[in-house]
Amino acid sequence: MKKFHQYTMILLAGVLGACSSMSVNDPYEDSLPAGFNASVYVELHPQLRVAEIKDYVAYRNELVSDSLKKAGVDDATLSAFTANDETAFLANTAVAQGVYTVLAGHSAAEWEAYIAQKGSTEKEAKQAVAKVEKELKEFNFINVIEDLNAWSNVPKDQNAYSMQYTLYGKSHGWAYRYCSDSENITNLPVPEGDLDKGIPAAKNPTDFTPITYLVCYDKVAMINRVIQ
Amino acid sequence: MMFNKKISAFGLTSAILFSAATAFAAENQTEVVTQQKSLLEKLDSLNAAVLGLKINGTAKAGVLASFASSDQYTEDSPTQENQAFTDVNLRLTARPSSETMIDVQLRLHKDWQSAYDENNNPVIGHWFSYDGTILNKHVDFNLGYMRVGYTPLTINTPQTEILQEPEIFAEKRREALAQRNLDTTSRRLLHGLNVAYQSGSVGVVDNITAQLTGARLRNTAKKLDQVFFDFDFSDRYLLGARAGVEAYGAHLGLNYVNVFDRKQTRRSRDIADEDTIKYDKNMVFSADLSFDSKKVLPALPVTFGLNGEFAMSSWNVEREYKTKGKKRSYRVGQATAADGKQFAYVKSSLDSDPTVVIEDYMDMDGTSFYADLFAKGNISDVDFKVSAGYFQTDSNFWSELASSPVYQGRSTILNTGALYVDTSYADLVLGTFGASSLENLYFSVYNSTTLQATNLMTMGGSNALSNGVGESPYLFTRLDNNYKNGHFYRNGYTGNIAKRLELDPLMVLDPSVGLALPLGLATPDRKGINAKVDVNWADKVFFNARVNLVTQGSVPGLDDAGNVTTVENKFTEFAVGLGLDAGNLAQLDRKILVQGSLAKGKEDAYLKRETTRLVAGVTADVWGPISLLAGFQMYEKKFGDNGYGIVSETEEGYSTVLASVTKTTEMLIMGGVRVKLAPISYLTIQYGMLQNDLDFSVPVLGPAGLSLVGKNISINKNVILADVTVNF
Repeated sequence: MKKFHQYTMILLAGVLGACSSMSVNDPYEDSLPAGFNASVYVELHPQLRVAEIKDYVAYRNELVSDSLKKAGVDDATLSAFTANDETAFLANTAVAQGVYTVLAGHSAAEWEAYIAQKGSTEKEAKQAVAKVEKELKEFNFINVIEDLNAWSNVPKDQNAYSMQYTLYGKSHGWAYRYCSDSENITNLPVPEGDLDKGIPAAKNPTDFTPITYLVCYDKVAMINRVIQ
Repeated sequence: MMFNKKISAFGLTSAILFSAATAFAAENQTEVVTQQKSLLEKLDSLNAAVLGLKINGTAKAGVLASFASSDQYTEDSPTQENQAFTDVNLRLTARPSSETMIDVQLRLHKDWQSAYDENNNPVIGHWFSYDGTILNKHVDFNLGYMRVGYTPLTINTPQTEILQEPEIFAEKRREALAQRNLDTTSRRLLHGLNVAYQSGSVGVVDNITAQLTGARLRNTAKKLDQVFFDFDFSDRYLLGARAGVEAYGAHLGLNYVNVFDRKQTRRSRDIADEDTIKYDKNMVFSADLSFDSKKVLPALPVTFGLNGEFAMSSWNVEREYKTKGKKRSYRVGQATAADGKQFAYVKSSLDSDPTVVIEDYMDMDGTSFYADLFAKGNISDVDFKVSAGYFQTDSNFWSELASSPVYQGRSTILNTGALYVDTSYADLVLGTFGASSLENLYFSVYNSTTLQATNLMTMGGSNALSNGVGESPYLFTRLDNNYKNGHFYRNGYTGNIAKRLELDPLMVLDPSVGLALPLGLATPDRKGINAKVDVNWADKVFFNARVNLVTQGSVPGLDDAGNVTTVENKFTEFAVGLGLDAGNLAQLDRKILVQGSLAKGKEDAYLKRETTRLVAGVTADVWGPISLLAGFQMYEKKFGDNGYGIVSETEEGYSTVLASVTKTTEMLIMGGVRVKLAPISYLTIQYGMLQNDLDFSVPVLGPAGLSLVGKNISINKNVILADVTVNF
């Protein structure tokens, strides 16, 4: 019995040792499918990058206003300064259009509609303009002369993309890579019912069925296909 | 309560103990310890038979009026300050058996001026200890407050030595020290546990000793307590051990001292972002060797011997502070894509993540040694002792418990309420360079005052009771009329121990301790020789001489081309003293002691300081119970070349010299009568004149540019003291 106890202790120590030696550089590595590449993933889902940029702009603008406050700028002066900066940003139509269509991913038609509605006194048109401008302001770096580099230089956090895939993208049937040429031919498209509707699950949790297969993106047909 | 009949006998012995302390202060410091000890042992045997509770002490009622005048005072400046008080020091000793003793000393102090404001006056207990000699007198122990001395390089207190210091001065100095629980011995005031073992004679070995000391120290070294209730939440500890063996007149000892900051208690509070905390650790290991020929050659009229010590120190400091680091963290966010579809994404953000960094800040090892040869003896009524030695201490050597003198000086003791005109620079010069050193050496003020917001401890601009929010509207009501008393000192001495990083650089400028060796023998970066002669011819003529030739390895200086470099600094110090007991010489039955001494010190680089101290005094039994005491002391300190610059440093690191002190001249004359009212009860009336002159120059911007303008602060203080002291 005493011997048995000794052996179990040794065994236990061995197990503990084995566990402790499993150093993991990326804790999400195991949950990612083989061949997952965060850069490709974000290319397929630019909205992740857009969200990242918006967060960064908000964070940086907060730093700017904090430092101005520390320098003794009062609240009224600060909000006037911010408003001025935003007006100047929106007035620069070329940049605003680039941001709206290229960065935020809206269509050229939507931009045209915005330009047409701008200056209108109709209630609905005013609301539509305000909505667009609100979105545009989210990209505005306060106290920076706008330069498209400012947005492309926002750091890309590949960990955040990978985590998003594990936490959300995978179960919502988001494609994680491009389909190969043969997959473009052989693989079935994702059934209509399995496509991500973009409705938060929390609103009606029972509606949501997680996708159990992996998905690739067919860039020729521009559809998602099931990976076998 | 049992009052013992032997009270008077004990009172006498305590009086002997007090006078012995000064008499021996001038002696070699290690010697003081042994002599004190033997005296204590005698006292022990005297008191051993006395069991039970005893109360003795001193009661003193007195006045001290100080009248100051200076052409730097404003017209409405107060010029007079009065102290009138009754001060009773009670010493309660309880002996449950002849082996052990509980010693509690209490102080009751009543300031007459505030006799009505302060209602009930609390008793301050300032000494608590349990001491004893147990196990057949093999083990001595102290628990609580204690005085412990090891060797000059391990645990030791550097003392001020003024040759032939007249009694009128010595007594004042002793009084100021006693208010801080200090004395004139080289032993250090500590609080903790001390155990010493003596084997007695074992075969050829005369004695084997072992000693262990543990004490808690104050963490922060401050020049002076700002207020009586001065506290700190962090701890600092001392662990000391030594062992020795004696045979054939030789003694070999090993000593170890470790002083360290306790990190755990400090860490019970968070560090503020801008704070940096330094944990200090200082270890000293030493071996001491001494030999006295008396044991092996008892027949010779002259004995000779040596004292030597070699010490190794290690000093390291850890620094702890917070970095304003950032940490990336992730959380889930929700967003809407351009096509209106909502999705969840992982939002990454940088959050501030202050981390505590612990780094090695200082690490120094050094060595120090000294070797003294001595000869002493008695040839036809002439007692003499001559010693000479060499010492050398690395600049990296550090022994904290041997390096903090009790004299710190530089405060203003009398007439602190005086107001100076703005153009006098008095706040700048007196506030940094300090006031008269003679005032600090010989005067002290002790008050008990009702506590209120203005004299409680404050932090920054706000009161401790309303920390962080400025003054609370309830501040005064909370403190009004609570009749709690605080005891406040104005005193130039302290028992605190300074860490090397906290050592007050200005303190070493006042050579009342020693120009060449401001921190005693353990002063870092010194080497040189010292010689001492003490002669006593049948208590009729006394002669002392001291010579120190010391070199400091590197101080900032200029080379021949005028570039800043490091140079050697050579100190030359000598002192001679002569005392004559005219009464004894003329074979009268009374003491008429006339004393005088001259001490000069000089350094040839750095600040090129030159000091001169001239001392003279008379202690004479005039008639019956009346004695006359008088003393004169002049002290001059010159700073060569550019003077000592009082520098202000800006946040950017630029320093500007605001004033530079070139010379100080101080004088103190005291005289008075002492009338013996009853055995060990005296009436004393004294007059003193204290003069302090400070010459300095300040840069003034005129039409011709910046020029140095000479300035002077001259303060005169006339002091009248009268008191009745009863020892019981």
